[in-house]
Amino acid sequence: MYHSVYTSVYTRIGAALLVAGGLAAPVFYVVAQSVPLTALALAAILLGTTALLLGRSLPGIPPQAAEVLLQTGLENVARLLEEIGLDTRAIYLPSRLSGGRPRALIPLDGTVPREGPLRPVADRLIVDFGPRPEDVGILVATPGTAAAEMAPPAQAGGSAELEAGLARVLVGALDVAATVDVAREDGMVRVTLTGLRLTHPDLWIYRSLGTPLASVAATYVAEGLDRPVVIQSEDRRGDRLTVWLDVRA
Amino acid sequence: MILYNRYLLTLAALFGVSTAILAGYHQEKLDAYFTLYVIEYLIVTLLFAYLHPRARRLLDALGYLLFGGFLVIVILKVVEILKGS
Repeated sequence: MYHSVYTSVYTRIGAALLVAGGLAAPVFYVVAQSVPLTALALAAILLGTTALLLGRSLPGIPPQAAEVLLQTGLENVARLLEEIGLDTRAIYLPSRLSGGRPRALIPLDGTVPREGPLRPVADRLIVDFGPRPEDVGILVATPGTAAAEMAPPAQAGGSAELEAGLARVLVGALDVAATVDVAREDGMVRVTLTGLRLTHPDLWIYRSLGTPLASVAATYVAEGLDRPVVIQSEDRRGDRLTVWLDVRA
Repeated sequence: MILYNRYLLTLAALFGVSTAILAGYHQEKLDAYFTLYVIEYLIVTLLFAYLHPRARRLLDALGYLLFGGFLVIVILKVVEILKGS
């Protein structure tokens, strides 16, 4: 029980500090007549209140349960793609191009179109995304689809805004990385995540969508820049992941 | 929640250090300690920009409360000065 364990840890620490500070403050002030010690007791009250508030804001779902749900969802799509034999790299579309929510488009013809803008697609499973008859693909939700809604997209689309937004999602809301670094270089966006706390099995779908963290990064960058994005490569070394994203027209 | 732990530890360290420094200078006014705690709390909460939105809302509410306390201290000081003059 993630929520209750962590809540009780913060709540216990908070309550202990609050009670200790509350009892000690008058004793230190009246009996000991020591202002620094009274101030320390005040600090304990403040810290205790802060810990209690943090305890109230923890997510209600255990990380293990979230991982199981994520894997189950992805495995179903993976089985579908594996059956078709599709391992084309997905194009991450911003919500403007994919019927209101950011999604990933997997072209069925086995190639990722490089030239020309993509046509906005309907929010359906099989969609028509270009002028050619073979421009048909599967539109799927990704881990990034839900995660990108946790922080408003970076409106200006600069590296700093993207970095702040991604950190809000991955470090603050999901607690799966310790730091996020975003840099834009020659039409590419490099996202570096360190202190990773998410492991995953090797699924077929990752050839298409990328790993869950890369997927979140790609979705967020696509939404922030309002342009389609393809995961060019991923390099994981220990608890550090570098993702190269190709920003399309 | 590593970020929460880091946030709490940062606050605890700052409160401890500032108390030691003020005590070292023989500061005997409680409002001076309180004012410093409030400033430290507001700055640290601002710097931990990536806290969960729910946590941020709650901590901001506490920040407003503490800032209210700080304003009361300032008003009392102003009244004291005006009375003295």
